[in-house]
Amino acid sequence: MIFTEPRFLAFFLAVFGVHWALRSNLARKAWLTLTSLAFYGAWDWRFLCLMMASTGIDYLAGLGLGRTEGARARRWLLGASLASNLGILGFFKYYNFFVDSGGRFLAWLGLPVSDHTLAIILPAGISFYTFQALSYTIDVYRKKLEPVRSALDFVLFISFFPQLVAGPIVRAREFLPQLDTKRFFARVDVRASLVLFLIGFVKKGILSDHVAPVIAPVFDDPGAYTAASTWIALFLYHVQIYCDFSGYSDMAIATAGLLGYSLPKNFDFPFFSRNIGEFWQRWHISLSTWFRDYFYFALGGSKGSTWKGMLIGSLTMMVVGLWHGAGWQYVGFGVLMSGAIIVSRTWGMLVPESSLARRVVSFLGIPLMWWFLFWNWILFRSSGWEQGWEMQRIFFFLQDGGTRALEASWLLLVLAFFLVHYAFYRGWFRRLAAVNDWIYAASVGAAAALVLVFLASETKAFIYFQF
Amino acid sequence: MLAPAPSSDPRTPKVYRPRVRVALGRVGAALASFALVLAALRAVAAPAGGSVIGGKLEYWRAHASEYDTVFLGSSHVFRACVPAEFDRASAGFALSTHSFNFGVQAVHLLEQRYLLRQILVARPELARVFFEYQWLTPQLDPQNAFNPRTVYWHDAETTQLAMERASHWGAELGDAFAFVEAENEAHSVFTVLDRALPPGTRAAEQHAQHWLTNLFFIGRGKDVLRGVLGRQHGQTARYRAQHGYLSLEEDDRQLAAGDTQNGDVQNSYRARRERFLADQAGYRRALDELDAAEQSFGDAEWVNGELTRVDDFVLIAAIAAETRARGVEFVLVILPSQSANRPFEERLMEELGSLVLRYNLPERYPALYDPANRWDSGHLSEEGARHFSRILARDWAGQRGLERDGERRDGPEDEAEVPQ
Repeated sequence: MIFTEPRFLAFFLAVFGVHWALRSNLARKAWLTLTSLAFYGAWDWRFLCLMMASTGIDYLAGLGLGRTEGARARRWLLGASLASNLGILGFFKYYNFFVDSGGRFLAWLGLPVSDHTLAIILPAGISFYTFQALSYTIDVYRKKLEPVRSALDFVLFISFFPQLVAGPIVRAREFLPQLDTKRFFARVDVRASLVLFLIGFVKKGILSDHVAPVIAPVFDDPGAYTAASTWIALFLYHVQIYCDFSGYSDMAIATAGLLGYSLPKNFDFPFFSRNIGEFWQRWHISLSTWFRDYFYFALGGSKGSTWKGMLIGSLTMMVVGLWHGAGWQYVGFGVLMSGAIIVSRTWGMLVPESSLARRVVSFLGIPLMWWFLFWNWILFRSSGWEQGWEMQRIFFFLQDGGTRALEASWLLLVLAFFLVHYAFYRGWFRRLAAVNDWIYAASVGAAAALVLVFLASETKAFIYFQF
Repeated sequence: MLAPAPSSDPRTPKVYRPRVRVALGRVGAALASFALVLAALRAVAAPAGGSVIGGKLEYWRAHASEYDTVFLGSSHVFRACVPAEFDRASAGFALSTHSFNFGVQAVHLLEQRYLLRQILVARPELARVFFEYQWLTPQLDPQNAFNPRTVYWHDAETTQLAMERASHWGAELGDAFAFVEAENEAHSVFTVLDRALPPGTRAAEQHAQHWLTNLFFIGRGKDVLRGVLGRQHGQTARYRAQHGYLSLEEDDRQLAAGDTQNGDVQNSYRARRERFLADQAGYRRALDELDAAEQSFGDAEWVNGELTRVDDFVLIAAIAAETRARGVEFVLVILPSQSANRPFEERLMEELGSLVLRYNLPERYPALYDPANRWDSGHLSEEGARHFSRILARDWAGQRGLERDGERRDGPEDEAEVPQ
């Protein structure tokens, strides 16, 4: 069930109505847990067991950590939680990749290999809920968070449907305290939530889903298209992936908001970034901060020598790349990001801040970042190695692959994107939240009609579902 | 960044006591503006259904008054009825016709009925319709679920009928009603719950969902833009030239020339032709079976074989009766396909109350099954279509004469009298 599907709207109306009709906090939490599990089961009920197993392990590990003071026992409990969570994630997400790659490597060495690849389906949202669960155990281990006693609260924290399958990755210490107190509808900012939901809906259902079929032929056969078309397709993928993912985050934050809960911000106009560091402070913020707090700092972060910090930074980026998926393209993505971190930090060290070169690069920061991201998107989106190489060739050397041009509708999509992005940036939507009640009601009605009509006829799964 | 900031401070909860009437009024204002905008967009939108149907409807609405006869059906009709040829042949029998080919690829029987109603809205004085016989698939193909082609014909009236027929066949066939689930939903908890419902009810539910999608005009933005900008479908101009008919040969030529806009996206027809040419023995076997068996099904290539197919006499009889009631002559045509249900066809001829012309008889119509006259196993070539159009005109004219004399028969025994 995808947020832009009509059946989600029906589902949410039912959840919303019953949630606010219930009086006790406990009943509301039970209702949200039940509906969250149903929401997850709408993909594949079989993986509910897996999610519950992961939840159970961390709940028990948390309880154990709360009762134990011995450092050794605490390390064991944390180790058990990490091993089981990462083990499950590793098996479902990376087993085929490693077995397949290992097999190919052995075959390349001339050693006999038998094919042991299993047809493993990637459970929806596994990377997201695993990281949420890990944040809980690590925080309890670090004594930054009291272990939660209520199993219901913990299950709801992991399975809360707005953010379950594609984030934002919510920290336990941000969410669990919200469950302790009853929500009050009077304090829900309904207007802001509705507007944010509509914005997310437009980004995903109108922009991203309309862009996808326009650029698909170029990525499938770049050799048939002109260099200009390839560049436009890359720009449109830039738009698509942003609208797809940030649109999901907007809708997740808005639906949670309508139920009285607050989720962290996940995007902050990433296309205005001028360097790689800034990009990761603006893009998928909940993931980058997760890695910063639980991986980068855990390895020492920027303490110690600059080179060590740089090494840890680039290692973090490699792991971030692999987090996105099991495939060499994501390894490549991680390598590019690591390289960018090294280049960016070395540049920062070697070139004085007041130099002309620094000012020029700073001035060109945004287009340079776009160029670099386009390069990354080739890895992300390519239909195969052959197409990927072809696209890189066209991207770098600006040689026409063929004579075909992109469908003219791309212009309309780009225009729509800039309009939405600009309106969002300038806060026009916020102004809508401040108008007279009657005008606001009529505007929301009109906007909802427009959004439904201009929805792409084919609803596509969110790109980040595969991660 | 716009972000809602819900609060949960329990100490000083602001008590929100909206006046119910005001709150309802605001909801009403939102719903009214929603409905108004939707109605406005509906009013300016171009016809739905993409270049083939949208193009035909667009052309028909502008030129309906030029025609008195329509051929309505699937791609089999689209590629088989040449209006100019039919009109010329009819004139040879002293009958004046101005015909239009409203064949549309992969048309569903209920969609065909919907199109007939649309045709009559634009041209209530239509003299006759040649309506292709089709079986009914009470369930929608999950592969095509919610695509514009499947949604647009789900108006309230057609949906009600679709739901009624789906429920009827669910009860009639019981476990034999094969409901095909969408592959990607097979393990959804909702699918698991749905399995408790009878298959007919699930099929009916599917139609209801499509009706809602159509009601809210979901995903019709392109048609709205097309309507506002006054842009015609790519195919509209082509329909003018041959009154709705397009040959597969011409499409193939356009496609070979790289004209994907006007080449009717028919790569698949090229592949089908290649398969047909490569398996002439298989084609012959299917024809032998068609001649010999009471029931045969040789059109597997054209349909999703997993779906339940039914010969729905009640539905066809209702369409025929409704058309006649509007003063339009209804002629049911069984095209030279590779499928037959002889007892059902006999029943149609006896009980329908309209003229039934059948051509799925290879022995009687060898020329229509001659590989030289076919593009592939299901479609006629341009030459075959011209021949068929002449036969159709002759049979229709002949039957009109026989009907006047109080007789009815299956069609002439041979093709020798076809005017050239």
